[in-house]
Amino acid sequence: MKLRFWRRREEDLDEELQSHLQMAAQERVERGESPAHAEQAARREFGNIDLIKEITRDMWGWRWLVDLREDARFGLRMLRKSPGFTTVAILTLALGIGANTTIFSADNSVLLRELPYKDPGRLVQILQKYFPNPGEDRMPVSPATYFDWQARSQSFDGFAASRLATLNLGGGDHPERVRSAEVSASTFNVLGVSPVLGRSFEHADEKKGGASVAILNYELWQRRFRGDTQVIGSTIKANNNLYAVVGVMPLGFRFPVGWLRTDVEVWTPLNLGDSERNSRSTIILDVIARLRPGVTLAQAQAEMDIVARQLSQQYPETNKDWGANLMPLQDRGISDFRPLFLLVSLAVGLVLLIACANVANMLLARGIQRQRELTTRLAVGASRTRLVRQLLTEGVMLAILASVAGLVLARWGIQIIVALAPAADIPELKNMALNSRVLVFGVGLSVLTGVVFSIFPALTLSRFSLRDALQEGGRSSESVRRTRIKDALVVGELMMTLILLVCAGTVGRSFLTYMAIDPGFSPTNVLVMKLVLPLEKYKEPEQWAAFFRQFEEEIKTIPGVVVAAVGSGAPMEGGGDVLRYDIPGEIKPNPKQPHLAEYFRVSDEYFLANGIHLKRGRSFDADDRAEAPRVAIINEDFARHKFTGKDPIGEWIILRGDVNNSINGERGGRRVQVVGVVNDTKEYGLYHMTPSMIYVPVSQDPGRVMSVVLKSLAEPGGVVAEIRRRLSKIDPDQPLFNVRTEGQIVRENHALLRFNAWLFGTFAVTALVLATTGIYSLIAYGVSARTQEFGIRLALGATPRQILRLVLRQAASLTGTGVVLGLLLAVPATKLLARSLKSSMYLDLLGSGPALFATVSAGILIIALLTAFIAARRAMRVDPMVALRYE
Amino acid sequence: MKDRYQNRIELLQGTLDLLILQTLQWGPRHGYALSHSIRTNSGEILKVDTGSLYPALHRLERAKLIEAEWKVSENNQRKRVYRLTAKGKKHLVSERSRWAQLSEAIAGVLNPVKSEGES
Repeated sequence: MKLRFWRRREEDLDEELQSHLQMAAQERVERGESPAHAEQAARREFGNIDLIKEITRDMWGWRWLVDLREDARFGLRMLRKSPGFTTVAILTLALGIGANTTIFSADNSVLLRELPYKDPGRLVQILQKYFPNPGEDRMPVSPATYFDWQARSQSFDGFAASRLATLNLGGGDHPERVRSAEVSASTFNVLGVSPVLGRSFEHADEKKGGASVAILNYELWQRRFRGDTQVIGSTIKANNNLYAVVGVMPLGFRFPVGWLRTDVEVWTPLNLGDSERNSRSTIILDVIARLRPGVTLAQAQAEMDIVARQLSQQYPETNKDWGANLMPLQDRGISDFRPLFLLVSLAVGLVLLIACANVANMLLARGIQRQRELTTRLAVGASRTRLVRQLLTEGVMLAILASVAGLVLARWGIQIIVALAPAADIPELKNMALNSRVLVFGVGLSVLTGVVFSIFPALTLSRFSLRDALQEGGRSSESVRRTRIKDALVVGELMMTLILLVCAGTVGRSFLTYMAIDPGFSPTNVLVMKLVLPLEKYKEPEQWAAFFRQFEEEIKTIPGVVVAAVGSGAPMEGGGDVLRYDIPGEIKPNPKQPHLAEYFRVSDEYFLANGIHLKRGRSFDADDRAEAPRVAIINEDFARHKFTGKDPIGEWIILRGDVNNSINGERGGRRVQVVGVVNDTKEYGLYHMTPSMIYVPVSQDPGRVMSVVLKSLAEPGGVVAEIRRRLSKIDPDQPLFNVRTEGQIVRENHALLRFNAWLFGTFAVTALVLATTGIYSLIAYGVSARTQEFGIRLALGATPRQILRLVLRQAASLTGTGVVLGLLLAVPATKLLARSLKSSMYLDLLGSGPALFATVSAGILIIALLTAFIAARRAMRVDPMVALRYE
Repeated sequence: MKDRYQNRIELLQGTLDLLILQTLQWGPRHGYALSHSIRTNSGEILKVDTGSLYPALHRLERAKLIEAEWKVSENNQRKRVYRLTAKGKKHLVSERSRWAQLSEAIAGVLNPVKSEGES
C-alpha cells in the first residue's frame, strides 16, 4: 500500500517535469526552431533532471525513509556477506531476547494480571491484623465486625463478604467435588460484573429459609451442562441439598482470586447462622470493598484505623488489638512473589546484557575489518552521523532478525514454564501466553538491544580520525580506546556471569540440601485421596466414623493394596488442624501465649501406611474405641519440648479449641493420655521447622474432611478406578478428589524452589556459555590482529611459549578483574536473593558460604583460561616469515 | 538575448515562495506557466531556475499553502496544476506586508541622505 503510493509519487514527479520540458520545447517550435533543436535547448535550459528530482524529493520530507531503505538494503548485504558472524550474532541475541520475553510473559500474567472486574484498581481487600503478632496481618473478619465496618465507614461505595466452601455435586455421570464460595448478595455488584445468563444474587437470596440458589462459573456450565441455556431454573444436587441455578458468570470470571489452588465454580448466597451473624470471635469472612471515587487507599486506611480503634474500645473482649489492613485487590496472592519475579527478571536481564556485550564485541572486531570501507565512505563525503546511523540500522536489523528467532524460543520457553510452573503456588502462571503485550515487549526489547550493542562500535567510529585511518593504508590495527571498550565488555560479561553462577549455586545448593533431608515418612507407592462429607447428609460424627470405617475396609479388600488408612491429611498435604493445648500442672511462663500443635485424627494403620515409625510405647489399635479411655500419640519434637527428660508415656495433655475457630474464647478441654511416640515428620515441607504433632484415634474424634492413604505393591495408579467403584457403592453422590501419589505431594510442596533452582541454573549456564564465547572471540581476534607483532617477536628470538604466556596473561588479567568485580557484587546479590525467597516462600536460603564463591571463581578462571588457551594456540604457530608479510 | 540572461538577479531566500504565491493568486497554473508568468511580469529580469521552482512548489504543497491537481489540457496533455489554498492566501497577505516593510527599510538604508534632508 505504502509502496504503491510511493511509486505513484515518483511517476507523478517524472510526468510533471516531462510536461514542463514538452511545453518549453513546444514554445520554441512555435517560435520557429526545429523540433530536434528545440528539445535539446529546452533540456539544456532545464538543467540536470535527476538532480532536480532528487532535490524535489527531499521536499516530501521522506528523506530519512529513503536513507533508511538504503541503509537497510546495504545492511542486509553486509549481513549476508558474513553468514558466520550473522548466524552467531542472531543466535546469541535470540537466546537473550527469547529468555527475556519468556520471563516477561510470566511477569505479565502474574504481576501485571488484569483482574476480570470493572475498574479493578478501585477494589481493595480489607483484612484484619493482629497487633501483638506482626505476622498475622492477613486474617479474616468476624461477621459482626464486618457489619460494623460497613455501618461506620464512609470511604467505600460498597462492601462484599465471602467465605470459601466445597460442594459435592451429585447427579450426572459421576459425583464431583467443586470449590464454591458463599458470597454476600452485593458481591457481583461491587465487582461490577453481571452474569452472561440469568441473574445475579438479590438481597432476598441471603435470607435463611428461602429457596437455595446458585450461580455457576462458565467452565462448570460448559463441563456439566454442555452450555445448555436451559440450566437457568433447573436444580443441581449439591451436598445433599437442591439448589436452583439462577445465573452463569462470563468466561474468564474468577472470584475470589489468589491463595486458591482451584477456581471457585459455584457461588451460593452468604448464609450466616444467627449465632454466626452476631459473633465477633469467629473470624470467617473474606471482605472486599470498592473505594468511593476520589478516595485514596491511604485515606480509606486512615478511616478504617479509626473505626477499628472505636470497635476495640467498645468491644475489648474480642476486638482489642485487632486492626483493619487494606490492600489493593490486585496484590492478592501475588504481592509476596513480587520480589522474586523482579529478581528473576533482573537475572534474565543480565543474560541479555551479556549477549549484547558479546555481539558488541563481535561488531567491534568486525568494525576493524570494515575500517577501510567506512574510511572510504567518510573520505567521499558521507557524514559521520550518517555512518553512525548506518551502523545503528545494521544493529537494529540484526536485533529484529534475532527477535524472530527469539520469539520462537519464547514460545517454547512459555510452554516449558507452564509445564514446570509451581501451579499450586502461583496459579496465574497457567495463563502465560505470547499475547500482544508480550510481543510488543519482545520486539521493543530487540530494537533497544540493537541500539545498545551497536552504540559501542558507533562510539569508536565517531572518534576515529580520517587521516590516521588513511595513513595506516588499510592495515588493521586497534586503537587503544577500542581495545579498552572490548576488554571492558568482556570483564562485564564475566562479572555478570559470576553473579548469576553464585545465585544459581546458592539456590541449587539449598535445593539439593533440602531435598536430601529425611522427611520422616516414606512416599514410595503411597496414594492419597481426599473426601469431604457434606454436613447436610452426614450430620453426626458417628456417621462420619462409620462411613470412613466402611470405606477403609472396602479399600483393604482391593487386590494390590497392602495397607490402607484414613487421617486428617497425608504428610505434607496440609490437612491437620492447629490445636491449642495445655499440659496439666505446668506453669506457663506466659499464660496468654497458647501452646500450639498440629492435630491429626488417624486410623490404626496410618503410621504403617506412611512409613512413620513408632519410637516408644504403642500404636493405636482396635481397642481404642469411642468409649475407651482417650489416648494420643505425640511426635518426638513434642516429647522433647514438653516432656523434657522424662518418659512421655502415660502423661496427660488437655486439648483446647482449634485456633481458627475461636480466637479469644476457650472451648473444650478434653484430656488425652499419651500412649506412644512417633518420629518427627516434615509436615510443613523440607525447608521448614518440624511442628509438634498430636495424633488421636479417628474413632475417638471423628473427622468429616479426611484423606485416604494407601500403600500398594507397585505403582498405585491402577487402583483408583476400583476405589471409585467401591465408593459409589457406599454413596453414589460422594466425590473423591485430589488423588495424588505421596511423591507428587512432596514434589508440589517444593515445586517453587525446584523451579527457581532450575530457572537460575538455566540463566547461569547460558551466561557461562555466552561469556565463554565472548572470551574466545576476544582472544582469537586479538591474536589474529597481532599476528604481525608476534611474527616480529618470534623473529627477534621469542619462543612460542613466551608468546602464549603473553596472550594468557592478558586473558588472566581480564578474567581476574571480572571475577573480583563479580565477587564484590555477588554478596549483595545473594542477600537480595535470600530476602526475596524468604518473602515468597518463607524459605531460609542456606548461606552461600566462601566455598561456593571459591568454587565458582575458580571454575570461571579455569574455563576462561582454557578457552583463551585454545584460542591462543594459533599465536604459537605463527610463522615469522608469513607473519611479517601478513598484510 | 544573451545579455538578458546575464542581467538575471539571484532571488533572495524566501522570495521565490512569495512570487509563486502571488502569481497563483491570479488563478491556478502549472509549473511551466508559473515560471513563464514570473519571467514576463518581471520584465524578463527574474528567471526562475527549474531546480528551484519544483522543490519550492513541492515544499509549499507539503506546507499546504498550495494544492496540486492533474488537469488535461485542450491538446490532451496532462498537467499538474497548482492552486492557492485558503491558508496560502492568508500566508501571502502577511508575507506581502513583510516584504513591503523590508523593501521600505532597504530603501531607507540605500537613500539615507535624501530621507534626512526631507525631515
